[in-house]
Amino acid sequence: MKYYIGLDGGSTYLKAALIGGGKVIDTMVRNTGIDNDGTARKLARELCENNGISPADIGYIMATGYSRKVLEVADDDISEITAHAYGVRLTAPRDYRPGMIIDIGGQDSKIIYLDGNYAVKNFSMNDKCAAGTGKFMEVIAGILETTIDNVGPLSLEAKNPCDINSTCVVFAQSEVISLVARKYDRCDILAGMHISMARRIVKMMKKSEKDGDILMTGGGSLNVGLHKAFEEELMRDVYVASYPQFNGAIGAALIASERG
Amino acid sequence: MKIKKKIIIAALSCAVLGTIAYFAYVFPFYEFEQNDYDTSLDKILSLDYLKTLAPLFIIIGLSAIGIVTTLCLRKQMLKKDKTYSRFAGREKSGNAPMQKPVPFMVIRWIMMIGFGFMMIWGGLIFGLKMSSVSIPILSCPWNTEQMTESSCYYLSHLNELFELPIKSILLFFGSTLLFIVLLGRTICGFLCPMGLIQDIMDKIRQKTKNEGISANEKLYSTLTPIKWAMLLIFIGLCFVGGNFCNFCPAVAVSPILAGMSTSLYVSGFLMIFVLIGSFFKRRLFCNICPLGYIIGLFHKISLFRIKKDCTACTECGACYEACPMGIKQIYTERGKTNVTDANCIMCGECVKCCPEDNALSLTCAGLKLYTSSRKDIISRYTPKKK
Amino acid sequence: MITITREQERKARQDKRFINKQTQTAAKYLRRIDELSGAPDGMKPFLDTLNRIYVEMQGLNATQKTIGTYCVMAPQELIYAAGAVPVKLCSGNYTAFFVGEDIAPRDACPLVKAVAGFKNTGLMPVYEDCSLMIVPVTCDCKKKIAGMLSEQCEVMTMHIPTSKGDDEIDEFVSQLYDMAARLEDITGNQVTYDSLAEAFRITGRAQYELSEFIRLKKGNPYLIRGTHAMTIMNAAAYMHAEDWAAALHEVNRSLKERAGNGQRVTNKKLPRILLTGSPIVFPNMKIPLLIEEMGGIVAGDETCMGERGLYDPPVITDDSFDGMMRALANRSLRPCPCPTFADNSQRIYRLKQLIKDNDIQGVIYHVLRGCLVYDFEYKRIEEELGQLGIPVIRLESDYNEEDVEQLRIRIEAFIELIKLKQEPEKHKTGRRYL
Repeated sequence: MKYYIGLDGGSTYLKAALIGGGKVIDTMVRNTGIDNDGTARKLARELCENNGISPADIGYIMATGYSRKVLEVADDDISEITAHAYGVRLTAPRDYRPGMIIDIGGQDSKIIYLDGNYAVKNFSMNDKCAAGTGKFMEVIAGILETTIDNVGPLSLEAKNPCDINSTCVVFAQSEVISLVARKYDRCDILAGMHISMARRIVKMMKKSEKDGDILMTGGGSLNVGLHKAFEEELMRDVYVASYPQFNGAIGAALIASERG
Repeated sequence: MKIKKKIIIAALSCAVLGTIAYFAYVFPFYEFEQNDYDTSLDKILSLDYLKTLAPLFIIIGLSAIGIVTTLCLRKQMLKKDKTYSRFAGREKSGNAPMQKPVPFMVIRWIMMIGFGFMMIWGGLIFGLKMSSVSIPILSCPWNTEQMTESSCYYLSHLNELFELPIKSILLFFGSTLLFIVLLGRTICGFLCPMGLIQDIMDKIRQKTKNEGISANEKLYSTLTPIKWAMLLIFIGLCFVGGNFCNFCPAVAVSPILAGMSTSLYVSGFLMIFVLIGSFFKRRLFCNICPLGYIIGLFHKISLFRIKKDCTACTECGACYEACPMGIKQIYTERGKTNVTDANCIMCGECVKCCPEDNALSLTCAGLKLYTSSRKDIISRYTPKKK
Repeated sequence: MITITREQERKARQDKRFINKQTQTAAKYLRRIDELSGAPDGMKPFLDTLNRIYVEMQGLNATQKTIGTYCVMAPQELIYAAGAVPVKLCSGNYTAFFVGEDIAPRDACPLVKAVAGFKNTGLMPVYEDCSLMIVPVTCDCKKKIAGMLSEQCEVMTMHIPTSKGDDEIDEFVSQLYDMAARLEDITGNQVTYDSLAEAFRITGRAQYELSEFIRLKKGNPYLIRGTHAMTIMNAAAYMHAEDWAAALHEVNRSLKERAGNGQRVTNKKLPRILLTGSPIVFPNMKIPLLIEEMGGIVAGDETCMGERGLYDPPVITDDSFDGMMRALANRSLRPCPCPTFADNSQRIYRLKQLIKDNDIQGVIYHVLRGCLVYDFEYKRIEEELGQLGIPVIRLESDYNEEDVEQLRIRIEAFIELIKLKQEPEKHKTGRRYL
């Protein structure tokens, strides 16, 4: 059997996915570091070793993400938009009708609109500003002395979410600090942050695209608090992809399997 | 303009025009002792002919005086304006990049002039008359020498029409309706001698490079209620014992030119108004012509249409500027193909001025007769070879 | 003896830095345009003009007086008729933009900041040579820049109505008379029937060549790259209409030759993109350049530095001086799909027209930061084009190069999207060195 690797060179992490026989076999993540290509090679090699596959069985390697052009290990590269749209085919829940993908990455967030056959119809991306991205969450979590993994569960305990109006990371930071100074509950602040993030991303959506379901991918969708905030803001069910962080990498691997 | 205001203008002009029309015979502009209907061609070659033409000369002379006075007055008025004054008295040498004559326009002028001849001297020259066939045209039926009967007499004298034998009534309505359906207001643009006179006045103004009155919605919406009033007088006057012909400007042209001594009542004055008016505003009388209005009501079943390809239009408004009838929808329309309006006289000016390929076309029963072309417009700008 | 004070020295150094930076950026973009494959023969005069203005920093080298204009509503014909030469001063300059940022408020649009920057440094000959600047007030930024400019040079503002009714046209005609009077005062020549007619012929020739050019540019496959076409249109700002028309004639000839030989820009089927939105002025050509470097083709553009200003001819319906003025007023306002007009559904029709004519597959909507009027229209256009199934993407940008990478990602993804829609990509052979 042939195996395929997808590499997603994001801004913070480099993600790799191994697929074979139409299933996700293994995924790995590593800090990007300065040597993108070296990390990518290491990841690919480890993926093979861990799963007992010889490198000769790798049919094709596809790269995506910001650093895709420098990943020489890959045979070809594809933009994140396309990769995400492909990845959904494997990671979306059974009953998901293709419609919209909200991808919350480390430094950008994007919305991809799909037609019935999972083909990209259109997309929108955030402007050159980190609000509404993983980075935003990380900064706020840092102020509130918690880790990014606890942000979600903590925010669910909120009774009375605060209002956070700033959309800029730096301004939001000072706003949160002032909220802390006024002795607001940490959970309430976090819930407020999720609402403000969700609101910002919902604003980005194109009003004309309404068909199908909504699916969240990217590291941000591991955050249950954000997921809840989206459902509240959109007043609709929002699905979460399996392997959300690896959606891009899986998509790239899937495209690789079509090529190889 | 508000409909209420329109009704007030209509009522007022009805009252004024109606009164003038009713008492028209009280103010003879030019009166003859007796009418002699001599019907030989020699007549217009004789010296007597000049005598019958006298009222026409008087009308033309008075109009010329009116036009010159108006021009002078306007100049005086502009002199007071700070900005306009410096441009007012300047030399007008050279030629503006106007369009070269296109075949369609040449044909239109030939038809207008040709039909004008036919409607004035046709009977005299060919000795041929189709008097039982009526064409809805404002060419005076007092001129018994014209090629064919004009519907305007019986339309304005409906009481007399119904005294005729049934066969004549049917023939009258049949032929009139046939022409309306076949030609529609193409009659106005291509055949009507009144239209020819007005177009000639406009040509004179353009050749002397005097500026006219520009297209403005306000002007047209004032003219609309006057048109209603004219229609009311046209149809209704006969029932209250008046005679529209004493009022109709067409009487001052056709019978006189055909060598008939006809008494002119208010028509002469009205003709002066038409001449001066059409000098400054192209086809002014067509905007208030009652007969044209009646024909226009049938524009939905007429064969001639103005068609627009809305995807080619840039809304530059050249068609509206060129339109003598002030039809605005032709440039604002963005959905329909058929933009023919009740006011459209099929003169083709909009098609001539349209700078977009195939955006406007004049069609007859779906057949494109004249289509706009960018090349036509833009070629007029090609500079002189140095 | 002249003593040079320290301040003057500093100023001189600053000016030198400005000039260096300015010329370098302009030269870089000119080089990028030049390096782009598939340029038609006859492009040289246009590149030379831009080179002369921005790199060599010379004036128009015209014997007549030059009159600066902004926006497309100030009719060039009147300026030619008064015996002067028009020059379009809307700027896309990055260096001047940085200077202007200190003068204009933060949220002002970069175009206005760049203009303010140029006028403030006083180093750009095209700006300094102007005897009069005509500023049509099309947005708030233009209104205030008119006030700022009037402190340094002669300025005439033109009121642009918010709708295109008959009264507005009449009002605009009287403004044109004012403009003619002002021009006469400055040049000392008379605007007469004859000189105006001659001016119509001068611009008419340019319009004739332009409509030929558009006809050739239309249709699939393409004979010329959009970036080159936009360069040609940008050069029109600094060339006498006669020279421009003559140069464009050469380009048209070479395009006709290409069409005859079956030659194309490339043989590949590139995604055809329409660029619309805020003005794209040289040297701010990063977006068209990125599109074409990323493997797309700018098949059409609907911006005011493009065809908008010249495409529609003034149609004279009344053979008189007033008739010509009316034709100018009519041409300046009615066909103009500038978002300064309150109801601008006309622009949507225009875009649909361009999409149909040029076989467009995707629309890139360019918004300069702070350009509110264009940003307002994005939503409506997105909806309307969404119904046609044409993908639209909004690119917000500024006059600097720091966002080039961000723009590149978006443009690349957009082009990929169109390509995937068009046909699944051909398989490449894998290379392996794991």
